[in-house]
Amino acid sequence: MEIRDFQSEGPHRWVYPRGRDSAMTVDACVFASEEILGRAVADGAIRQVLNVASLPGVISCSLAMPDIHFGYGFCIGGVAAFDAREGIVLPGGVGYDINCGVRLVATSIPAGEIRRAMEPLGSAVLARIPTGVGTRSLRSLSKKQFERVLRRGARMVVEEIAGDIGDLDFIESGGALAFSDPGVISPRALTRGRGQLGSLGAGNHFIEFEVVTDIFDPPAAAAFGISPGQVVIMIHTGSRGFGHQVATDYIERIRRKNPPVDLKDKQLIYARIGSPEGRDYRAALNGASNFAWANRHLIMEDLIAILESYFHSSRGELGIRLVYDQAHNIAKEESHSIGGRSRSVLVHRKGATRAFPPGHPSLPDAYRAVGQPVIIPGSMGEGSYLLRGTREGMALAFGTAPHGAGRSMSRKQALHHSEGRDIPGELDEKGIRVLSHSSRGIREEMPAAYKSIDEVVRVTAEAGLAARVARMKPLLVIKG
Amino acid sequence: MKTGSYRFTAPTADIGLAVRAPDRRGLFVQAFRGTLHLALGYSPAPQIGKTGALPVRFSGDGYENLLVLLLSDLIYRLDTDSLLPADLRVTGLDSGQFSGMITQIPRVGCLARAIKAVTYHGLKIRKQPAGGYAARIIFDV
Repeated sequence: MEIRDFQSEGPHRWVYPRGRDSAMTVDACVFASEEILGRAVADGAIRQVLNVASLPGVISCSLAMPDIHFGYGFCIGGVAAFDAREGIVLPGGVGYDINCGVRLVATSIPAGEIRRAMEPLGSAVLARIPTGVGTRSLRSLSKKQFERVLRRGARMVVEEIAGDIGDLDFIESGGALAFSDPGVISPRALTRGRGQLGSLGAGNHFIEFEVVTDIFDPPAAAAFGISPGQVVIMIHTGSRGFGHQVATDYIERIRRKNPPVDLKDKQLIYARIGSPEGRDYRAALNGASNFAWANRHLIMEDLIAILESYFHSSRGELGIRLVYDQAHNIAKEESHSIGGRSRSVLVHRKGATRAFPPGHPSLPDAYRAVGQPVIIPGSMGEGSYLLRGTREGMALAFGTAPHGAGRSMSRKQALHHSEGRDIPGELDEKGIRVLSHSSRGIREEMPAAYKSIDEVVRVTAEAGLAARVARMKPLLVIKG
Repeated sequence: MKTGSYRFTAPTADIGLAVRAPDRRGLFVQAFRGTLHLALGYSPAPQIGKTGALPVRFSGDGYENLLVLLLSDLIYRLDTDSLLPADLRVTGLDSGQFSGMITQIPRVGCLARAIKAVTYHGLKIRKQPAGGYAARIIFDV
């Protein structure tokens, strides 16, 4: 397969027609620059997009976002929709870190105050919020409390631990999906989850204090409460070992019921949505999604407590406000216009983020005129973007945008490239302080291990998937 | 090749393990050791401080399935058990059953890497033309 096998059907929109591969039932559509597309062909990610286009009942087309890279079965940055009643659900289309996602918190703390306080603030975060491999929560939840987390997500945290009920409007799906059932979740998953609520984890998870450097869309920025020079906080984590165990359990259960004999990739096993396995997986998936929203909410509340204590001010005095929280790895029922009629579909987004347009009923009143905030973090050396959903993106890609820069280097390559280098020192010279329990983790996440966030966002905006609102630069990064 | 070996490989986002051994039992042992090395950042010395022995048994529908079950069980134990799984002895293996004994030692220090899961992506245990068996396993990390 080569780039010339694709048809260019718009800015950064490449279509691989289904007629080129007899197994494909729909086209594959990749949003990418020529360079990104070439890299995705080379690393095998495009083959994965084509494999998804061969799954039964896939609707419209198999999509990939500009941060596409090779995953397992389903590429990272992949999107696929199936009929919500008669279609299929596939755990590989969600990933193991169920509802890994990101939230953006606005503050009115001056950037100079954060710069002066980076060391004590970072140390306080590392002391209070469990970060790194295998870390456990500092809170002990009863079995009943944990079941309420799985059913009620972020709402449980707000009502029983800490938080502001108004924040729930600014979380995708209100921070909880219905039809979650702890009864279909294994004792192993429950054991892992009960000890991990409020913990950041490791890998590419982080807490980042950033300063807003550029505003591209003043009306949208005003609606989101974002202004130049403002300090914002980004939290990136997911459902921890709980979600990993749920995914592992259901991949096993589904593959035993439906052996992957005809599949091009065994990691693409699936269940009919209406089958017992499909229903149970969705109930468990929703529980893990709710856990992740509760996890990010609790981490945010712990961060707020740290800031209140350090600055001797209340959250109101510090101007702390949740801008938005969005999922990266999830399958959710949504209504989309397909072939001129509205259909209820189960949209799988794996390493991709929902980006709903202005006027969408699921958006909070404050954002309905401008569209959903879309938070796209880059590497710890580059910075991040805030965008907004567009009508074009809704029509082209089920209202979806990229979730990040996407890796360009494997972890092993990153370790090789960073050998003998002082990555925190290099970042410090750029005014970015990085703290972590793991020097290996910092090296694996070095800026050069990721694609350019500017390039991914440029392609995203020019393709019409989402529109740029603001750019942020990191000040203080706490890596898991 | 007396006992087999493992080495790490590097797909873009994840980490792989290339394993080979003279027989399937040895392949399972090498995959277990390689996964431990990946998680701990070193190879534990099970002969030092052996504290416990834990029997494990899985039923499956093929060798690849049994290998995933074994390594998924190891990932769970690394995340939850108070003792550290340090080595594996295979006591029974056919295409439908696996049984073995895990050597446990006291935990010292933290894990070096979080392994989310072992995947089926491209997983195939192959008999090698020159003898022995090989497999490539991809982890989500």
